[in-house]
Amino acid sequence: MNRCLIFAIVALVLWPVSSFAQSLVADQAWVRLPPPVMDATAGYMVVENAGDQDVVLIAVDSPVAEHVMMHGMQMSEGRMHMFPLPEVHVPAHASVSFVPGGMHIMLMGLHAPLRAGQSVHFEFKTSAGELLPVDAIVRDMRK
Amino acid sequence: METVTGKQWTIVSASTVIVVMIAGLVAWFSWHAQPEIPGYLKRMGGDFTLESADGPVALQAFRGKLVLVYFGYTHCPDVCPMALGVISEAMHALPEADKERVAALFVSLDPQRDHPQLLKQYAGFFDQRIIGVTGSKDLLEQIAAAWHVDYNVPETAAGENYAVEHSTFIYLLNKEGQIVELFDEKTAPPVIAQAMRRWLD
Repeated sequence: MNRCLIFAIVALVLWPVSSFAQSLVADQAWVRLPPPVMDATAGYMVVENAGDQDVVLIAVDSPVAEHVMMHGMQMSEGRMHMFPLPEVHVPAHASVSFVPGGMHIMLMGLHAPLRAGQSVHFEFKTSAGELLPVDAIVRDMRK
Repeated sequence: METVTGKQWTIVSASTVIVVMIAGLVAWFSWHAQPEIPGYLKRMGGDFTLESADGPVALQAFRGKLVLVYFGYTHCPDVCPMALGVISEAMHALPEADKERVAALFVSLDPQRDHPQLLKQYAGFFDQRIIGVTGSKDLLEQIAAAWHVDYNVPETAAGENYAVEHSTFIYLLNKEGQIVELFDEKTAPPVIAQAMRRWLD
């Protein structure tokens, strides 16, 4: 009986940590192939929330780079400003887009040069402790 | 039936000659006239000499060619690659005969991290014809002021990650080195190619 209770408590505590964000789907995920001399680039994708609850993305990580973060972009007084976003809200039944020239996933300190066609794994974390795994493809945007 | 007198003939032929001459002049001007440079652009720009991996690069050396100029920095992961991609595509979209008549410069505002050799490799990735240049902090400040480039490099030690804020114009210079049109990283490359064709004529 006691053992059951402890197991239940442990399971309850661990459950949110290990669960995946069921209502979230990432789509059109890609990473810009940077010049080989650069160890920084950006990732783009659309994150859709099919659920009835708003979701807040609080972090993103990837094994390919040392620093991975959500970045916002804003044009003000003729200057393009880039700044880290501590959180990104994905309202219920809506989506947010990380796009070129807009909000994007910043990858700084790439551990190895990326190759076109390579898959890059990302993992978002939500404020509820859920995880959203995303696989993006590296694209060479040169024509 | 009326008869046409010699005097009337003279008037008719004289008017015809005048009309044809005016039409000819209008056609000649519209064919040869360059597009108008907007007033606010006339007060911007000016020659400069900056360092590339292959030695000094003077803007004066490109007289007779059109030049696309972009100010940015290599640690810019989003907007700068977009702009350099647009520049490369616009140059590729030109007819073969015009490709030798255009040049492109990528001016780094971040000389602390962007040395000329790195700039050459960086710019060359997008297009071998884009020349990467930079210079001293003071010189870049002077050029930026003359070109109305608004930027800010944070006072941070090299090696740290910092973002440079900057205006994102792609400048088009005519064969005389004057700024004639402004674009940015969101401009469709064919629009820039079309503008270059106009200014090459």
